[in-house]
Amino acid sequence: MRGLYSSPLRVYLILGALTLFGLIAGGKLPISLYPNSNKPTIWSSVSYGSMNAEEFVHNYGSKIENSLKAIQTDDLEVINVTSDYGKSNASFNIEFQWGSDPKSAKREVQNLMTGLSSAWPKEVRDSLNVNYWSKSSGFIAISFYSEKRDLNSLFKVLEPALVPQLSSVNDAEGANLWNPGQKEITITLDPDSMATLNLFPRDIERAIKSGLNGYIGGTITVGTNRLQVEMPRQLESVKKLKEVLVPTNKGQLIHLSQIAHIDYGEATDSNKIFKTNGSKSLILFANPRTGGNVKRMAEDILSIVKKAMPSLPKDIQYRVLVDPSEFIRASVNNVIHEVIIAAGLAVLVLFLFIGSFKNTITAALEIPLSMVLAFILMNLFEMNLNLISLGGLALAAGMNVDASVVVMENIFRHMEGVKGPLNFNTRLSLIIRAVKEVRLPIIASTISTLVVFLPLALTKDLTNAILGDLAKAVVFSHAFSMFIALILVPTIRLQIMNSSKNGDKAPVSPINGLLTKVETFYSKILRSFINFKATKWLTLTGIVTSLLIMSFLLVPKLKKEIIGTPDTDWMILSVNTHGNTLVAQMESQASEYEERLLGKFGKDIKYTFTQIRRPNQATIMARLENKKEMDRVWKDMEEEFQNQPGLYFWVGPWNPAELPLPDPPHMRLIVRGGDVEDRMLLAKDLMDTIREKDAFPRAWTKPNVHKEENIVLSPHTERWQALAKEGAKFLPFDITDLSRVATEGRVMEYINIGGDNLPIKVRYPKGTLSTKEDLEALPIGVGDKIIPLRSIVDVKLKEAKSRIYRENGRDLVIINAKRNKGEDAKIESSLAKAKEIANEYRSKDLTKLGLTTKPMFYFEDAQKDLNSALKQLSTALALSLLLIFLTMLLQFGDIGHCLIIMVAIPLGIFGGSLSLWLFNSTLSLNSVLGIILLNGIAVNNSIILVDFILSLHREGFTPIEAAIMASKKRLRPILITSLTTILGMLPIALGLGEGGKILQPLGLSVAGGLWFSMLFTLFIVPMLEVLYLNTKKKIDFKETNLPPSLETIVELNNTEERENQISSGEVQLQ
Amino acid sequence: MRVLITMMFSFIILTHSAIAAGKDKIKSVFVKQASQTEVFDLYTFPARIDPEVNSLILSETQGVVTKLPVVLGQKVKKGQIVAKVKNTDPVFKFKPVVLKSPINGVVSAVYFSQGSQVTRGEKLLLVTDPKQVKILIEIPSKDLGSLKKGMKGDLFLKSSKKPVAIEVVGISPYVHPATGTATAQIKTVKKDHMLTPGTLGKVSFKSNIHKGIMLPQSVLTYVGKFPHIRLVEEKDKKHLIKKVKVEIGPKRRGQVEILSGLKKGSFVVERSSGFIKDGDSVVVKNFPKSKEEKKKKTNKKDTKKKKIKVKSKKEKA
Repeated sequence: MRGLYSSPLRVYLILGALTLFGLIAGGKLPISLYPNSNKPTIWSSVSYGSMNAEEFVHNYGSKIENSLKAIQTDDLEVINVTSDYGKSNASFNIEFQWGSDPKSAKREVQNLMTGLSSAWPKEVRDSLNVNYWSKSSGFIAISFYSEKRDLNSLFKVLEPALVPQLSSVNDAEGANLWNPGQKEITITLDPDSMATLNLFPRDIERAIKSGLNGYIGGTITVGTNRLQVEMPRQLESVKKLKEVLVPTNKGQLIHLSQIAHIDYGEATDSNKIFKTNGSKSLILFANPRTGGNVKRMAEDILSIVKKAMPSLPKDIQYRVLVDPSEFIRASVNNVIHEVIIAAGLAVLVLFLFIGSFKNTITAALEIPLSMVLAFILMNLFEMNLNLISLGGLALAAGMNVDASVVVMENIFRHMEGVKGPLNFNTRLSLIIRAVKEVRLPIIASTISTLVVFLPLALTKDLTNAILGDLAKAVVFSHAFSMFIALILVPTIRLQIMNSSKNGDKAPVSPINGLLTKVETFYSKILRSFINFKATKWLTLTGIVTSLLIMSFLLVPKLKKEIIGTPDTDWMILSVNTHGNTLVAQMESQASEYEERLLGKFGKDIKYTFTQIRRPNQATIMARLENKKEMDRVWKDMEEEFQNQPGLYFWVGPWNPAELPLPDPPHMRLIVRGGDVEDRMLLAKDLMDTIREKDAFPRAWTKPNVHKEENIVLSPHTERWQALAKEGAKFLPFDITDLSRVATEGRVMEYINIGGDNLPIKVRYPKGTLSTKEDLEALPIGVGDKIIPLRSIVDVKLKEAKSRIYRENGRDLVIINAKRNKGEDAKIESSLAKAKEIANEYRSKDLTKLGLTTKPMFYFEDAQKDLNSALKQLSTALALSLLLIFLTMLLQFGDIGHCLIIMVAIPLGIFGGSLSLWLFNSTLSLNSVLGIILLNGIAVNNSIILVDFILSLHREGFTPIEAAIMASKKRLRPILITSLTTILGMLPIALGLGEGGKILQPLGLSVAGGLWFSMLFTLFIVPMLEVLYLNTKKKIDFKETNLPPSLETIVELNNTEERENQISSGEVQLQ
Repeated sequence: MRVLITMMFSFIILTHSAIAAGKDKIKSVFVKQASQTEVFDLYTFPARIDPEVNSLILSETQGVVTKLPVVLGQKVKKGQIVAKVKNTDPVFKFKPVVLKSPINGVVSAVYFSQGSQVTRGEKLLLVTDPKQVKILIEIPSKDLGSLKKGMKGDLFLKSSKKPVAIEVVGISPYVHPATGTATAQIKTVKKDHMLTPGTLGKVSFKSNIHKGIMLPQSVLTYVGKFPHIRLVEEKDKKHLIKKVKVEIGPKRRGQVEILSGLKKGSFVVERSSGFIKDGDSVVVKNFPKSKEEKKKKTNKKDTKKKKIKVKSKKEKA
């Protein structure tokens, strides 16, 4: 030590190097919204060709499920396998454990399925598909425009410049440039001619295909030249397409244009449409892949666009419509600001208490240094800078100065004792002495703070995924702060002493006068508080009632959530309807609502971005001018867009979070056993009963139990031979192909015209088939006869076979239910009501529903993830309390003192929950963590206070005098440590700016709880100490006279005597 | 201080309760009035329109076509000379054979040109009478029982929106083994309708005609296996939902026949804005307005206009 302090250069050099290292490490830390944790879900699908769902489950499905469930490697574990067997294909969702690597999870599933597939029929094997399944709603959208070009020619310029590079963006999935001006060729066949000429769509396809091929007819060698004989592709224009020769049944060749209309134009039935501010636009769109970093993806794509722009014609411009990186950056920057403000406030508190500028800086250096040094470890642990880890740093900022303050204070205390100028050696030994004195307490208190976090290391899954980063950040920076306090602070202090010529004096606080007044005032109040007779009872009843209030009124009332979501300036209006068959139909409907949205909320909206990917659903996103208006706009939009018959709206904010946070329903009712059909019927009826009796406003089932009907074609195969004799060349397959072309149309080929690869879509005139009866009467030509379709194929409406849904190998139907947003308080009563309804339902006569078997039903914990997370945290809380208790027991060796010190804990918890409730915040992982943290700090305050009281008491003061003197002496340090932390947490507690809401519960619980526990520590702890010491004294005294068995009786009866003791003690002192 | 704290608390409690008290939104529905209509099974067939009178003129001798005085599309009368064929064999120094049209009609195909060599019995010309057509349909064997001779139906053509009235002339008793159909011949009821031979149309017949209630399939909800519908009933100026069990008949053209359990004239929920249950009060979005209501509305407008007039008069004054 001596060597270290005496050669400051060495200390500075080492620390400087470390700091540099830390800064580099910090710069390298990736930035994201949430911690880098993942719960990958892999999705796999197969279509079962000739089998039906039941057969497939029986033959292959259950084996697949079992094998998937059994996947287990060193770092992979499957926790859930759900499978959905639909009409023609099965899909499996395989959920892995938190923290699994998505890539190896996918590989593992892929390997397994490929292995299993060797036993499947070829058509099933060929349909195997394995991919990531993502819930993430983050994406990037950039629109391109030019005044000089139309969309299609703009696309032609942009596509080669951008699309090849997009595939290099690792975090993106399906990054692509969407061209709304996409052209296509539509061939509308004339049904009558097709029938008269005995043609089927496949004949047309064959004819077109032959025209699309080029042929090579060998080579001729002329001298040294080899000439290739070739017949190039004949189809190179729309006109040529009209001249395609179609052979008819009678051996004629006719032109395609004789039996069809051929149009070249904008694609009408595109499968997705993007619009911005009401008009279609050329858009670059990308989703992140599972486990991908949304921010990095957005930045990579933006840099590709920025790099490409200079080489493009100048009239092309772009606008970033949706950029999650901007949002994430803003959120993270905001928290960084909060950290800086926190540090600033802590420094201010220090200055107010310490006084001298130099000394404040010396102590405050600790804050940035320990943060920067923490970056090194964060880098080693592969953490990233996210809202959670930054929250940890902000939290630590206030706590970190404590050690330095203690060191400095002790140095000053020693300086006060010495007078006159000192030489270097005496100064050095003074500092060494001072540091040595506090070395152990500092190490102990740091360790005790860190010990609180130890149980967090035992949590897993969600809790660990989210809070691991926060705990690590606090531990890293707080541990470094201890070293800095013990090494750097004394070194600097020594240098300051060396450089000051007039001898260094302990500085005086600028608010010293005020502080002294506060001290006197406090000791007066404390004295009367201790002396007040009813105090004891009041305190006891106060503590008990506050605990009761907390556990029965406050905590149950708090909203529960896993973690808050960040603020955003995007609102989503989702429009759902039914009955559309084309995306284009939805587009016209969506634009009506987009117009209405822009008309009503034009003032609040910067611009809109609309995605239509399905015929019956559109997502209209609106960027608000001011995110502070979010709540108002949200409410007004909900008011404006109310469900109508057949039209359903959903309004809510958009949040591009990457973390797969579970959003479970509030009720989960399982229906099992019985016949598949009966299970579905019962589930539907039970769900309707629950809805009818208003238990939950929203309920749905998995799988869907609504009756569905299909049109089933069954060909009269016995007739086919005779048909062939008549010259009919079609097969049963051609009938379905015909009905597909007649309904939706089918893209048969692609043709390259002028550099564009255009789809050739073949269809029948719109409206050819609108009912099942139309299909039955569809004309088919057989020889000279024109027969209705139904003469060779049976056309029947049939109830669709039920879907089969399985979870981890169990056949079941799940009834889920949820209360609306903001009605969390009603969840419990709703659930109870649902249980009551279900119980009543058990006596219902199921034969009245037409059921023949008896499926059973039971409830399961719907919010398993959330509850287990909170449970884990509570265990961690209990463990940390136990650890605190044990550390104290080691320190004091007396259970009584330990219990008194721990009074601060329930008070802190009460204060934390109260402030959470007052500010309408939530009981989340963050707030519970805040409370755990709070315990550590609150206890630290009490420990020092009790330690002081005890040592004064040992020196001979009466308990009450010792308590008052100690409290007065410890007031400043307690105020410093508490206020630095409280003020440090204040910006976070206020939840200003982006991302604020994520950390707000943490800030609220720490700031509110600490404030509470500080106030009460200052009064209740000394009071209880006095009581305890007096009692103990009495017992010690009586122990010598009384048999030990009476000990307890005395303790119960001597309250009055204790009161006397206290007053007599006071008299003695006076 | 105490006052302040109580004020603060009451404020907080107030805001909390205000947030918690969410309003239950009244759901809205579209209704359909159940009315008795004609219910029938519809049999639709693609129909082929063929010329009834079609005369193929064959060469009666081997030789050269010396004269072809008609062109494609030309009207010809019965007995009009349409071609002359001269036998080139010197053994048969006959006069050219004159071919005459056996019917009044239009030349609808010319297979040879003047000077062509033809053999005996070769097709030379086709004369068709466009005014006389027959309509042929193929009836699947299972539908044969429902169709009878003399049955009236409609013919739908691409060229006109209005259907043409037709009737069955006769049905072949022979079911073709390949197609499983029997051919039936049909004619238009009114003779003056021009049909283009060679085109296709659609013929439909109504059968099993009776009175009944037809409603869109979307009105059905199921309780267990049993179909129900939801009625909207007016009570105390409120529209209330009532769920009733019904018996349904066959589904036709997207609609379902309600056999029993429903009175005509009642309002049936076709679509709703959310889950509705028995006894719910709803807003009916498409309630047919009664005459009185319509009158009231117009009256109101009138009085408004009057008021405005009165005002303007006053202003003038």
